[in-house]
Parts: sequence; C-alpha cells; structure tokens
Amino acid sequence: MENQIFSFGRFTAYLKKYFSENRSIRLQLIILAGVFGALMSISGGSINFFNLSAAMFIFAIVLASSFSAFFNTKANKIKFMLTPVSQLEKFMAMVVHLYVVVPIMFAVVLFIAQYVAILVTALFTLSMPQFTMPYAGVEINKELLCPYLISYFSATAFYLMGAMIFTRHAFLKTTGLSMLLGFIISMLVAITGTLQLVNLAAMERLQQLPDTDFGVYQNVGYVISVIMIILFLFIGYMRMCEMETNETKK
Amino acid sequence: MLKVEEMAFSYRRNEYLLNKLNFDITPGGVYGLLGKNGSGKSTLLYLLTGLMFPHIGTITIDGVSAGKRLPQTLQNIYLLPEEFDLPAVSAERYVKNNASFYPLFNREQFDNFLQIFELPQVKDLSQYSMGQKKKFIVSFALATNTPLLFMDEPTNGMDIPSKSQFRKAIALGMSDERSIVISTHQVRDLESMIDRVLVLHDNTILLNESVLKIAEKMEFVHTTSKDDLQGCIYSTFTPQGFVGVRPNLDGIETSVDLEVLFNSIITNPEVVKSLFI
Repeated sequence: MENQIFSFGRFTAYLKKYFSENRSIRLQLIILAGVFGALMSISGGSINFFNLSAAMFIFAIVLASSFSAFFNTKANKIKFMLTPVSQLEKFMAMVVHLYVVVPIMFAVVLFIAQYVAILVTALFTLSMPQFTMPYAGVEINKELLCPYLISYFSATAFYLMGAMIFTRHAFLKTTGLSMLLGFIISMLVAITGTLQLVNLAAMERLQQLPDTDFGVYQNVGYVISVIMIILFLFIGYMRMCEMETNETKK
Repeated sequence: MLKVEEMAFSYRRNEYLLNKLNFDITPGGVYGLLGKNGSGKSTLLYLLTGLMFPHIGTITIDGVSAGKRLPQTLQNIYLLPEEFDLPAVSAERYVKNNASFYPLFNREQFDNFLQIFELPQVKDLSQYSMGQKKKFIVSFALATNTPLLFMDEPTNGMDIPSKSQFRKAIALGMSDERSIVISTHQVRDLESMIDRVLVLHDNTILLNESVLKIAEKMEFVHTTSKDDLQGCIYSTFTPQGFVGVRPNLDGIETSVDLEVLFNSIITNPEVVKSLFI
C-alpha cells in the first residue's frame, strides 16, 4: 500500500496539477521581468541589492497570503480538501512554491530583465547593444544575504500561517497580527532590558562587562529565526489539517 | 463500506442539527437522501466525506475515519458539491491533472458520458455555461468509478433534456461495487433511479429503506375519487386527482411515489416507522 503521509509519485502528480491550474505564474513572470527590465534600464543596467530583495520579499509575502484563496469559498475549499493527496503534500506544494519556485522565478526574471534593459538602452541611445555576462548587473551583498534569506523564510512562513488562519483578507490581517506581535515583543524586550539595568544597579558595573561578541548574538538570532520558521509552518499545517467546510459561509 | 455510528453534529452549542445517526452505506445502490431545505442534507454529505468532523460518534470509510482525509480514503470517494468551480484549463488538461489521483478512472467512460450530455468541445472549461460545467463535472465524477460517489443537488441548473441525460449517465455509471448518494429536494428528478431512500428529518434519519421494501410495505394510491383514500396515512389533492399512501395490506406492489412518501414521513413519522419494524 502507498504511504499515506508522503509518496513522491503522488506529490509530483499534485505539483503538476497545482502549477498547471495556477496560470497566474506565467503572468507574474512577464510582469516582473518588465518591471525589473524598466528598473534596470533607468539605473544604467544594474539593480541594487536593496531594491531586488525588497521586491522579492513583498512579492513572496503577498503570494503566501494569496494561498488563502484555496479556502475563501466553499467550492474552493471542497476542491482543495478532497484532492486525493495527503495534507502534508498539499502543504508542501505551497512551501515549494514559496521557497523553490519563487527564487527560481526571480533568477529567470533577472536573467531576462538584464537583456531587456540592454536592448531598451540600445534602442534609446541608438547604439549597438552591449551584451555582458548574465547577472552582471545584479548586485548581491554577501554580508546581508544570510540575514535577508532568514528574514525571507521567516516572513513567508508567517504569512503562509496567516493564510491558513485567515481565509479572507489574509494579507491585511496577517500584517496586523505581525505588527501586534512586533509591538508585544518590543515591549517585552524593553521591559526585560530595563529590569536588567535595574538589576545591574550601577553604571560602573555595566562598564566592567566584558566586550560583547555580536557574532554570538547573531547566531542566536539565526537559531531563534529557524525555530520560528518551523513553528509558523507547523501551526499553518496543523490549522490546514483541522479546517472544516462550514467555516466558510459563502 | 461507509459506517455512521451514533453520530451527532451541531452548528450551535446544545442545538443538534444531526443527532444520533446510525446507518451504513453498502456497495451497489443509488441512495436518495431526501430532506427539507435546512434539514442538514449538505452538512451530512460534508460529514460523510470528512470535510467536517462529527461532535459525537464516528464516520468510517473502510474502517478509517473519514475526517483523517487520508489519500487512500479520498481516492475512494468523490463529492460533487452543489456549487463548484472549474479551472481555466482545457478538458484534456483537466483529465490529465486529476484522473491520476483516481485509480479506477476510465477515459472511455468519460468520453461516453460527455457524448451522452452532448457537450461541445471547448478550448477552456471556463467557456462552458453553468449547466454545461455541471454536466462536465458529473461526467468526470462518474468516470472516476470511486466506490462512493456523493452528489449534492446534481440536477439543479439542468434543463429538462439534461435531466433525462443525467438519469441515463447514472444508470451507465452504476455498478455493483459502487454506491451513489444523491442529495436532493427535487424528488421527481430521481424517482426512477433510486434503490434506497434515506429521509433526513427532525435531526435524524427517519427512514432508511430500499425502494423494494417500501413498495412491499406501503401502497401508493392515485385516484380521482376521495373515497378510494380510505386508510391512507397521508393524502393530498393534485391537479390530476388525489394521491395518497397507506399500509400495503393486499401485498400488491405499487410504484413508489417519492414525493408522497416523503410527505407521509414528515407528517406521520411514527406511523411510517412502525410499518418497517
């Protein structure tokens, strides 16, 4: 008997169905290539890391929220829930979309955009196009890459969880929730910090503290982020498994 | 195959829509699930397919809880909901995308059903009208050959010729290994094809009997004279005359009038139930 939790054959069949019925991907690809092509043309054939990462980040969290469309009507919910694949496979398809397909899509988009920008520049300057190496105009900040990837994965996991919890207006509601959580966390940090200062009692003792190793704090931050990613995905998955049809009135 | 034991479900606290339901669905029959609007027919179908979870009791399909939604269970059931949506892909692509999940899917049968419904070929399924979409999805549902097929108000939105095409398709799609549960309040549409009747009323299944047994126990009277209605537990006047139902004391079987049967059950539930004890 086939494994009821995960079967590679079943998962690939589901991925085929998932991406075949999700036609907006092709449209997204064209629009993004156009936008990046225009941006690169304006900025002399290159794109900086900030613009690139911000665009990818916003695109991915909006996409993650859009997965609530699987549940926003009774008909969609029934179709999704009764497809004969495991709940894990259904959830994994969304994760693959966010964590594998989107980065690949951006790589393809940037590849196309660079040559679009070269051709557009040549057209406007009435000169021969100066072709360069692929991705020559794409700036990658190696120092910021790791923190960016961590924040990309955790934010998309959070918005994916939000899409499983809020079946309507998922993006707005998840953003509201993240702001609320952010406020609570910053309050907690502020209170803890103040208490610590009170406990230390005197500024002299503060001055005696050994030099802080920020690398350790950074690593602790990464570990916490990875734990949060797993937690958000787990909550999203559990919520999807426990979803019922009657939650949608429409 | 499908077993419901002591099942209860409510939308509001302490107000059960379905209470203490016990019944089986065994292979080889078309079940007509009848009930008034709001009696919980669609809810029951969602519970049977694992789309909702019972608050009390169990629902199992081949011994596995329906609510687990395991692939093995899901590939043995197909629910055609009252409202549905088809993706904007070609019919060919739709079949390629979905048929592989149903091991008993039969392409030849599918094409045959499309022919029965006289569906034109289109580039994209979104080009079909609502009625055509329904015919397409009915064809797919029947061709999956799942042992359990649930249909929620399948004839809604179908015109008169389509309803007879639907009956033909159901007859062709039926087999001894398969059960089809059709939930409807349009009993006339299903009269000739139902093997077993499930009547949902007052939060419970009031009747769960085969049409043969009903014909054996109840006599359906169609007459122009009111005097012929003696002994009827339910009767009414129609433009064609009087119709009624009474206990079958002569042993002569009459054809079952589902509308009269349904009305007799909801007006005199205890009397009807006593006939089947």
